[in-house]
Order: sequence, then structure tokens, then C-alpha cells
Amino acid sequence: MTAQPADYRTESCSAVIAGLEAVGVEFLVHIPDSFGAPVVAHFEAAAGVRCFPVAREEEGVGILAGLAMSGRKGAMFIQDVGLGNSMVALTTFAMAYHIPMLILAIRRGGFGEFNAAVHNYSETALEMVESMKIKASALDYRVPLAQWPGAIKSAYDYAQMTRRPIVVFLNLKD
Amino acid sequence: MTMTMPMATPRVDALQAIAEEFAAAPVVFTCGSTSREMAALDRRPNHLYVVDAMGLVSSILLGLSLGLESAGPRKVVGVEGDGGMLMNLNALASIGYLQPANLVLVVLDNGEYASTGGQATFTTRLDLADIAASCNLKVWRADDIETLRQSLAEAAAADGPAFVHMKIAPGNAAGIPLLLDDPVTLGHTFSEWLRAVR
Repeated sequence: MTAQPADYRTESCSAVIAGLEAVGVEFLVHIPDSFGAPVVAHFEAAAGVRCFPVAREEEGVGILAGLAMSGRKGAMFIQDVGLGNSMVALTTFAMAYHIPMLILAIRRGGFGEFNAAVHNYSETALEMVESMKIKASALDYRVPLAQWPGAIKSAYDYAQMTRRPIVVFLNLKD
Repeated sequence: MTMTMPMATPRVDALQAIAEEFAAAPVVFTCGSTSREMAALDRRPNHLYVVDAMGLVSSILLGLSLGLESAGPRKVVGVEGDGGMLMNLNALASIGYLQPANLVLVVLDNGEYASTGGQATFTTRLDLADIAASCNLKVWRADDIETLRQSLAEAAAADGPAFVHMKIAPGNAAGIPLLLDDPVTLGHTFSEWLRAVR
């Protein structure tokens, strides 16, 4: 079994930052999450990246679609529970019109989660996304953090190549 | 003496005015009868017809406007209905927060869900222009075709984000065919046009 870094949450956020920088994102659309807060803080201070919140996740899908159609590099960083809000926009626009986009979804629920209400949704979120025929992958403690940046870059490239959205689930919890 | 009320503007006339004012701009049209009527009336490659995803036009528009702020067409335009706008009022807050100067959002408000049988929307009691103004969009109001044309021209010349609220007649144009194109083709046509002009 792979030994966990002393501060897994910080290290995993650093790996996500490195992945998004490898992509070269120009826009990061987010709805804040306590586990992912360091990622947002990094890009809010980063030169050349416009990082801003949206009120609901389906807005982010529309914004990413507009950015993609105008030839710009964007990504969305949200909690996995927000994917439920996004499903109609993802399926009836991004999938139907072949619009590539990268969505990083922070897993709530599961090991290390403190919010008892969120498990029911989170435990089935990946299957829900896949049942909509949206490509999904997961990065968690089973994948060495050194591989996360490359995996995030590969996910972005896959979305571009297939002209479809892709969701990468991230477990940032200790 | 008999008072005669002016006839409310049909949506097709408002759409034609928008297409003419923004003939060189990307224009995103909402689903249902709005896209169908525009495509039947005057189909153009700078038009993106969103045939589903009700409410998403204002968010797609925001993404396009941010993406094209530094280059490309001077204005980016979205055409939404009152039902679609009400479905994604959040977008007004996001637009107001981000303040893209090149964004023009036109809402054609007939006070009903015309594509589904004319059920009343909240705009029979609420004012979308007031809501947009409270989100710090610059607002124009129109309820006839001349005022609409003037509002569109002023919004095109001004630094936005602009919100043009046009009260139109209820109902849909007769004899308009369904828009049955593959959405991939609709998106590709628009993207290729945009790629050539940006």
C-alpha cells in the first residue's frame, strides 16, 4: 500500500494545481469547497488565469461551452454534488453539440467525509455520470499523487479529442 | 371616441430586427419557437440555435463574451425568452459580477410559455428589466419595433453588459417547421463561422 504524505490534503491540491497548469487553463470556473479551497486561492492569485465563482453548476457548463467555442481553455472545479445540477446542460448541450470541457469534481462522501447528508449522493455520483454516457475517471489515494497532473492533462486532451465533456472525480480528503 | 391599442410586436419581427442589427456578431438563440422562427425566417452562420437546454443561453453567452473579450467580434449577443431567463436568473448575477463589456442579452418577453401552450410566466407580475438592473446590467426597455431597433443600436454602441427587455405579443408564428437539424451540425456551423472571424 502506498504511504500517504503527511498532509495529503495540501499535497493533493498541489497535484491538482500542477495538472491545471499543465493544461494551461486560462479560465477556472468554480463553486467553492472546503477541501479544494487551496486550488481556488492559487488560481485567484495566478497571472494569466481568470478564476471566478458561479452561482450554480449548470451555469458553469454553459460558460465552459462558450469558452470552448471561442477557442479558449477553461475548466470547472466543483463538488461532485453539483454534477446533479449540471446533468441537463451536460447532456442536452455539451454532449448533444459535441462541446469539449473538463470538470474536476471533488468527492464528498466516502472515507474521511464529515457531512452525513452527502454520502447518499456522492457514493453514486460516478455511476450516475457514466450512466449518462459521460466519460469519467477518478483520482484518489489509490493513484500516486505524482501521477495526478498527467492524468488531469490527459483528461483535458481526451475531451478535446473526443469533443465531449469529461469529469474527473478527486478525493482530496486525508 | 374609440381608443385603439397599438398591436404588440410578433416575435418574428423582433427576431428580424436583432438579426439585422447584429449581422456580423455571434448571436445565440434560445430553444423552442424562438430558434425555430429565427431559422425559418433568416438562417445565418453567425447564429447558434440552442434547441434544448432551456435557460442556458445567458450562460453560453457569458462564456462566449469572456472568451472573445480580447479579440473577435465587438459584441456577443444572446436572445432569451422570459421563461428561459426565469429558469436561470443566476446568470444575471454572474454577468453583473463579471461585467463583460461586449455582452448584449435580449429578452423577448411575451409573459407566457408560448412553445408549450401559453401558460403564464412570472413576468406577468415581475419585471425582468428591474431584476437585470439590480444586477448592474445596463437596461433598455422596448415594447414596439421602432423602440426595439433604437435600443439594439444603442446597446450595440455602448459598453455593456447590456440587457434589452422587449415586450412582444403572445403566441408563435404560424406554419413554422420544427428545427430538426443535428445539434452537432448547428454547433459546427456556428463554431466555424466564429473561428473565421475571431
